[in-house]
Amino acid sequence: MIFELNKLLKSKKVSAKELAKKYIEAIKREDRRLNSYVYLSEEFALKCAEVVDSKLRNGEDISILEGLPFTLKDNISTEGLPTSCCSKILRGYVPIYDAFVWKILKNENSVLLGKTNMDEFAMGSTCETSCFGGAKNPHNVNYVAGGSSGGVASAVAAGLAVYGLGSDTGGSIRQPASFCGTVGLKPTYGAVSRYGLVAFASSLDQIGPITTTVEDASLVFDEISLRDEQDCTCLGAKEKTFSHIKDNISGIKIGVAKEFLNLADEDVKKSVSLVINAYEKMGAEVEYISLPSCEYALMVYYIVACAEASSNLGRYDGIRYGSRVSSYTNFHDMICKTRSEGFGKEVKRRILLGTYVLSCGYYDAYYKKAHMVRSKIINEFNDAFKCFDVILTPTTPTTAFECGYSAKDPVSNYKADICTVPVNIAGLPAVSVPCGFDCKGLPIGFQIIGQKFHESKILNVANKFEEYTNACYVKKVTGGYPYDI
Amino acid sequence: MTREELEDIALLCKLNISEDEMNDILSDMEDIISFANKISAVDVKDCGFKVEDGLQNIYRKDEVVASFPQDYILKNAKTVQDGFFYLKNGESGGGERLDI
Amino acid sequence: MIYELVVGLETHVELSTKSKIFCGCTTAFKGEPNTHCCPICIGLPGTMPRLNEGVVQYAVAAGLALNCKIAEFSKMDRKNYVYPDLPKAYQISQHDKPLCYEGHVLLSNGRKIGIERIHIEEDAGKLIHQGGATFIDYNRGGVPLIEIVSKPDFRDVEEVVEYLELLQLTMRYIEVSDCKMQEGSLRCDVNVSVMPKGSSKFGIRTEIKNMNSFNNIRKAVQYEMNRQIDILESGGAVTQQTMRYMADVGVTEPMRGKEDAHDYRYFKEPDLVNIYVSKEQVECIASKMPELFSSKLNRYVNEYRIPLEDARLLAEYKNVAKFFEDSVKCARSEQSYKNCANLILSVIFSKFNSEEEKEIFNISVSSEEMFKLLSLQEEKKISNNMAKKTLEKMLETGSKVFDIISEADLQGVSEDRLLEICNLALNENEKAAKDYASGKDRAIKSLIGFVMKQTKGRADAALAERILKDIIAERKF
Repeated sequence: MIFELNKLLKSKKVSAKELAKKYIEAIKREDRRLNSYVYLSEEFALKCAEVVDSKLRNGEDISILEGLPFTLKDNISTEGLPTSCCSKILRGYVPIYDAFVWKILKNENSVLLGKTNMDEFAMGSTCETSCFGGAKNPHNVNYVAGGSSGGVASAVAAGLAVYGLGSDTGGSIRQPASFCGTVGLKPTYGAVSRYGLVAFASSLDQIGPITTTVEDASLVFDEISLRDEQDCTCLGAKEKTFSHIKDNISGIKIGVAKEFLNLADEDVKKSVSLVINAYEKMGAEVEYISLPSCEYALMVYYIVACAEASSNLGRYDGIRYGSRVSSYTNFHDMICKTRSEGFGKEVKRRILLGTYVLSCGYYDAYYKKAHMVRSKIINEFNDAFKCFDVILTPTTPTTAFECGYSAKDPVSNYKADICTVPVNIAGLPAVSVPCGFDCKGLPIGFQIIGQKFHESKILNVANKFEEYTNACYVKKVTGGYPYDI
Repeated sequence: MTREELEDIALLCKLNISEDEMNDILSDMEDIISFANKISAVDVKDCGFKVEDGLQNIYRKDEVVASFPQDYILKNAKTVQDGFFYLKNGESGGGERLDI
Repeated sequence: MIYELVVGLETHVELSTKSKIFCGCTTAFKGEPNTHCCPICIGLPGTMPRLNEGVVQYAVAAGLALNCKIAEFSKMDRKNYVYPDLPKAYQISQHDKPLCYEGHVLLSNGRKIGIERIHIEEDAGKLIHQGGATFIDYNRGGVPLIEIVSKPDFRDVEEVVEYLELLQLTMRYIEVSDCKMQEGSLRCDVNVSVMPKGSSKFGIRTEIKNMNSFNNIRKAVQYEMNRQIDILESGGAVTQQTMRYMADVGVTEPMRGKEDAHDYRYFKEPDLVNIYVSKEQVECIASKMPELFSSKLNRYVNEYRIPLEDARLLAEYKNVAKFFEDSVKCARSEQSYKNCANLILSVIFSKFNSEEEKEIFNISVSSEEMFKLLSLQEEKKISNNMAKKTLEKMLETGSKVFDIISEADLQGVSEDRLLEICNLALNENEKAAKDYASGKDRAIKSLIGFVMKQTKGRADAALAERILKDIIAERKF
């Protein structure tokens, strides 16, 4: 879609301002239902569009994302525009600097429509821990958009943004992308700068695009995957993916992770089997493989992510930014009250667990052990990649959850992340691609996992599926785009 | 996890746990911890974990760049005075810092 | 019972890199509050640290100067602790892999104080408590620190002070820190315990936090030692705790409340990468290091034959030592070294009113001019007295040696003329001549004085003395 819209702008069939206005109108019309946006930057968007239009009037060329309306998850820092992580504790916080990814897009005159809904501090898989209430699934508003980047996925699926950037710590891009029938790319750890992304778990977090097509994901990824000196864990992508997206995949080796497939619902299993058939027809060699250590990935994830989160979230003390309780006796009292009132239940639960596993006497048993198991998981993936080019799994064992539904115990909730979490643990790239609907009409997605910095390969494989099926599942359900292409 | 342990942990991460929440959180924590405890059974003999692995030596040159204007730095604070972040009331700082 | 004191030190030294440890803000002292800050300094959500290469280099230099081993691999860790001066609620420090380890410092009494480790970390902001309110300034937040941890090797409080003075001197020498205690760029925590003399089992220790003057350290350690001895003598046990020293009343007191109970929950900083320092890098840093104080001291005493106390004064400040060494670079005789030392210590030092001025050593005399002066003195073209007076004038006016000393001055006094004047001196001071002849050695001084006065100081006093003695012996007074 990005390619087509870029052509429309260049050929002056539509102005950037008109395009932006269409999207803003659509948001105002549709989003009461979906709750995908938590902040609308209308004025700012129109101003950006104006700049693009004047460039076009002057006969200047524009780059691929220039003038295209998009959205950012509310945990990506935007100077002058609120960035709340959908938490009460960051109410009123307006960053004084730009996240690296936003700086790139801003320089390209991308038209930021607003900030989208998410689970509080990206902790959740329903978007329902947001202090603004959860984003709904455009395919059926009685179902969640998924999480934590639920807002981005919901907005993109409903045509309320051309594309969006989310963040993925344990599946937070891929799972909502799958739930909403969109494409979600979680890049290799270190491919995209985290500078300005409000940290949840620093060794797992990664920013990536949610788009309607694989081609779009590739175009956006190529723009944002630059090396950034401000994030010394970021090396940038090793190549542009777009030029490989149409490469021939005949003879390519795909490993299907059977443990993950076995966990899935019948509808999901069926859909993914059809994907496998499709790849075989395209000449790929498909084999079933076992990744037994991935069973432990969830434990590693909850130990590492919560430990890092407990440290990253210590800074919300009400002094320099964010909300603060009005009555307190001393500093200690002020900060305890501010944090207890400012953080939601899930965030508090994870801070407590993270503090516990790092505390004196438990470090070796949990945190240190988790890192050893993490190595084991990484080794297992490395071994698998000796025989296979990519690994295929369902993105999630089920389709979207019903709103308000939550298992009695938190552990069952966490288990829904089983397919996505090992990818973050190993720092690998993975893309979720829509591949059908279940009996309730909710989208199903499958996931392609690649070796580190092999985004080209996974996007190539994913794109081939899209080409093969000529599928754009979004269209069928959400009533088309604000601007028909 | 005992109630006392939970209270100690809460103190460390500066969270108050009310009486209402206490039992709920305790049982959640027990669930999560017993789940996390399974990790102890994982065999990691040949996991190859080394703290030395990973990226290395990415530095910044020792060069001064302009700081931010004071009003930017203070912009998001609830209370400021004379260019300082400011915390009125109470015996704030009743303790003294111990660690540096 | 007789008790022995046991002390260990944790010393924080602020490094004098231009920029902070994790961002490009200046490390300058003072400045309007919160003006040396950026989003990283105040821990805004989403910010990330970038390690300053200079900090690693400075810390390695400090390690080498204190005879440490340099770790090939080290890493940064988070030390989690909530306090308003710590904007991220964790301090980025080093936990189990410090940059330097196993060093030592040699004290003048011959004892070796072990250095356990030196690690790098960030400083915290500053809190000002006033009238029930707290004012917070993060300018100091992120200024690089090294923490030098000694072994519990001190047995006397004067050893502690000497160690700290030596540390201060060394850090200034290698230019990694100005170590100004009054500005907080050198602060230390003192661990104190006592044990029965001769015992090898340490007692329970207390830690006195944040000491920032040598005098207070002396008093606090003395007080704490006596306090602990009193407890033990009355059959009690010392409680391991953190203390503060109340300088105004001269006592130590415990400083921890319940909310301060801490558990730092160290873990590796995921936002920074590992630190590898190769042997080549260490060698490169070592090769750029200036000669250290102790080595200079040895050289001054053994090579230049300067008395130890004078040598210490010359070597103490790098600028003084440099001026001294440059001035005598081309000198040939031991006498010149001594002359130079004397002139610096007596004439130049008397112009300074503080240690700081001495350290800065801003004078209007170049080492080249000083060398010319020393040469004249060595060749006996001018007397010691005249050298002093000339140097004084040079310092006052900024003039060069030959602007002050005229050709006529340099002519000196010929031996014939000197003989004439000596005879005159004896004729006019017959009593002094007789006194000397009768064994009053000191009487010769007034005769020499007469000669010097007549020649306006140009005569060679030693030669004059010899001639006078010869004539007295000849003429049989």
